[in-house]
Amino acid sequence: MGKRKSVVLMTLLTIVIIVLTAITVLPGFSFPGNSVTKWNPAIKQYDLGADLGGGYYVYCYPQGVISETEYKDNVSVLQGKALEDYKASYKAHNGGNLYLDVDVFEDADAIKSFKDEFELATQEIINRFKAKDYSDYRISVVDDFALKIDVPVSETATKDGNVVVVGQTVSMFTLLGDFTIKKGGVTVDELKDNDPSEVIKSVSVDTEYGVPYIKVKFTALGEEMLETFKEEQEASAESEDSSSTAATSLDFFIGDQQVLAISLDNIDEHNNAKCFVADAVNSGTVEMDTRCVETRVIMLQSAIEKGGFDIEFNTIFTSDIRTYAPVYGDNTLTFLFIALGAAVLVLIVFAIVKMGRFGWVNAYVTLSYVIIVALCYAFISSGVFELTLGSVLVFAAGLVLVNVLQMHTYYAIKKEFDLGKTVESSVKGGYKKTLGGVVDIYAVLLLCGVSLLIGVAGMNTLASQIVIATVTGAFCNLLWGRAINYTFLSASQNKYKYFRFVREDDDDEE
Amino acid sequence: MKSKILTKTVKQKTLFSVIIAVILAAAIGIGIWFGVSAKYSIFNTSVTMESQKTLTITVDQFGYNNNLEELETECEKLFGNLNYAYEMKGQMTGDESELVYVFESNADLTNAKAAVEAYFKAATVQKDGVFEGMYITVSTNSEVIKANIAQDYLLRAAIAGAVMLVLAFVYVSLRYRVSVGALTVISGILGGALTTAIVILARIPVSVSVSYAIVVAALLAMVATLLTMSKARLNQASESEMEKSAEDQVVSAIAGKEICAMTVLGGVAIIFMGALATTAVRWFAIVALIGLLVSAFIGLFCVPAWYLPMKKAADKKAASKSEYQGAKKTSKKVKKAFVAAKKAAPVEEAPVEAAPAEETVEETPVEEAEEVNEEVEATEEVEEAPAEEAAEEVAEAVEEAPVEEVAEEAVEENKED
Repeated sequence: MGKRKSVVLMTLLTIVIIVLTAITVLPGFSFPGNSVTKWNPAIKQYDLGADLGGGYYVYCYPQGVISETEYKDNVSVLQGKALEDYKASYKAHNGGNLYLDVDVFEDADAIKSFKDEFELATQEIINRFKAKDYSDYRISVVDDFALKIDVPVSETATKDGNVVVVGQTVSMFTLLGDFTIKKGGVTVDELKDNDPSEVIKSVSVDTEYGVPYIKVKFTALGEEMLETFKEEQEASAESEDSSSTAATSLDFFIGDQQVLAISLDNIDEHNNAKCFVADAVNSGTVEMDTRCVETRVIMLQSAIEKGGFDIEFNTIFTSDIRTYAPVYGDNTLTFLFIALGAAVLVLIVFAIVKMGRFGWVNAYVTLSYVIIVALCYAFISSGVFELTLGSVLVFAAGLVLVNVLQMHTYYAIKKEFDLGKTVESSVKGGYKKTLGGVVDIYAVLLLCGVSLLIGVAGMNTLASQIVIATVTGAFCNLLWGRAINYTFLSASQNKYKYFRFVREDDDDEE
Repeated sequence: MKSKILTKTVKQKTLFSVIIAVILAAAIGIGIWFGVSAKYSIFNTSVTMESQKTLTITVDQFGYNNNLEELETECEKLFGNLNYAYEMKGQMTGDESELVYVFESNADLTNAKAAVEAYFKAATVQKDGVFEGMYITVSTNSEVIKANIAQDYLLRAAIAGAVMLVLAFVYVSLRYRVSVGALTVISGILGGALTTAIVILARIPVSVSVSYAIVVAALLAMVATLLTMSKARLNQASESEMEKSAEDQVVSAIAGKEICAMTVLGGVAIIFMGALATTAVRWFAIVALIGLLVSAFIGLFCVPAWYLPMKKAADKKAASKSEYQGAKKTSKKVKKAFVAAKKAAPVEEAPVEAAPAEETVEETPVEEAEEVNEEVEATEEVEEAPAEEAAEEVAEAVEEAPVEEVAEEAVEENKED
């Protein structure tokens, strides 16, 4: 490659890398004169796990159980007889940590019965959260009669944002009543003597033109139910009687809570139901995003397969959801980014000091790796995984490996040069000899990353990140680094100085 | 000096095996001892993963937003000698928020709760006090953890790990040798196992993040092994390297610079992370650093020491395969050479030459007979020499004597032998 071409290419490359680095890591700022539009770097797009982003927690109290705080709040505002009646209606449990309604927990048998049912219900709620595939979550039993549920902050990344989605998820997963299908408020005939699983074949998430919906497939019995419903609807439409009271939808209930409504428009030619919206009584329709659809599907599947439980939890309001800062501290993420930035700087300086101008190739390769992995973490994986401390470690390990293998190549080139070859021949020989080893390392790491995808939650997340870091590292070492080196070497005036090679003078010449 | 150290350590396979076995055995022993006791578990699990007790101070939203630091200061004073594991600031969107102090499950919070309640009851009515007019409630809870991510994914993680090792073994075995594949897998297993063992022995608080560091340690150990193995394979193509003794070959194959660079640079990055972040991240950084050092130990010392006997065995096998086999090959080669030469000779001249050859044989002087005997002896001697040389010798003999006669006699002689 000619020198001029090389210099032009080098300049373009430098500009591209600087721009991409800025897109990736430049701290956010508001545009001058515009208080609405704000610049945010790619690293702000990450879904964060609980250890880095914090999360949400909520206490779920079954009916008849209240917290100590609620009890004390009520006691502080009541007076006289009302206060006495109130105090008499509750008894303290576990030293006053919880208060139990004496009407619900009237005797030891009632308490034992409740505890047995509560244990089964807790396990079912845990199964629902497991199916949701969080990178991190925690469910605890609080003083034997309540639940505490922790979820990571990534759950909130929807157009509705923050605590609303968390509240919906927890509310749905703590819905434990029996599954029924009603038509006009009356349970359909097909469910009177049959289990729900004999009517509903499956409930799943599907998409149409990128919009998620709940897909319900019916059994033969369920299809009969649909046919009956269709006939009623057609008859009602043809009827000139304006007072016709035929139900306009098949309503899915869990306990007393309506969770889905299927109208004629939702039924396709294969007798499957497609529900794009969550039709809830009295609250209008809310278009669902993918997370909301997943949550409802999990809840429905669980209710259809496992049936209901005799535990009913109090309604969860958004004001009941607590937001907590990252477990490791509010500024952990900022500090980690600073630490990684310092590490990148050290790697670049080390390479330049050790390897001369070839170290600049290393610098470009390092920055390229940072840009590609950071952007992949942010955009390819949107909604797929969360950034955790493991992600940071994988990123750092990949960064170090890329630099070490560049060094490995440099020493191989130096070894070839020491045999008496020309610089070009040494470069060729050095790359050729290190190719197999570098390919082997990345191949093994890729196989490891792919096989770790078998793991769930955090391990699955880590595996995805290992695959991203490995593919990027392989690209940087095997292709990108060589291309950059070729460009820089072509532009270099002194190829010996470029590599810091010194050819020993032949004594005979003297 | 580095070469001297590595030359000594490369012969110490037993020593390193014993060191690793002792560490693993100690970790298993300590883990079982702790695990048997109802109070503890094999791992010193972080409080975030265990059952716990909480002391919650619920505060009105105004007080929470304006006096949170003072609240924290007073609470910590009132706890006295009672140490909490961590605190959580639970912000709510309604009228109040809360400050939660998390304690270990065996903590007695009765006195602390009473002290905090009494203090704030007085402080909220104290005129011109910091907490005047605030609404503060104190409550305690006991939480028994029923599900967290670590419990749920252990089995799948174990299966994933096993599949990972099998795939790595297959790939490396195909690229190098089965023994090298086994060595790579063993280094990966030991990378993870040793790191886990040190975590157990040092009772480092274990959380989900620590498991990530252990997985990365296993991968780095395999990378260190592959760096050495690829260098060893490259050296096999070098004549100067092959002239060295097996020990020297293994020492020169050790990717010392690369492994040291990986350790130093990785260590710098991890130290930055641990130094700048909070205490909890420091435990994670410590485990990551331990994993890095374990990988370097395995790559620099253990793998070369275990590779040396494998290399010696492989060299011995290769040398035995290259030894000359014997007469059978020679005689076949001779036969082929004679047949080829016979075919190459012109057909018309054959009878003419044959007659003189026969006559020559009948009237063969002693010298010619001796020559033939010598040729036969040469073929016998050739049994102990490389087959190609034998063929050349016989070919030379063929040039000196008529083709058919020599061939027939050579065959007859070999049959008699």
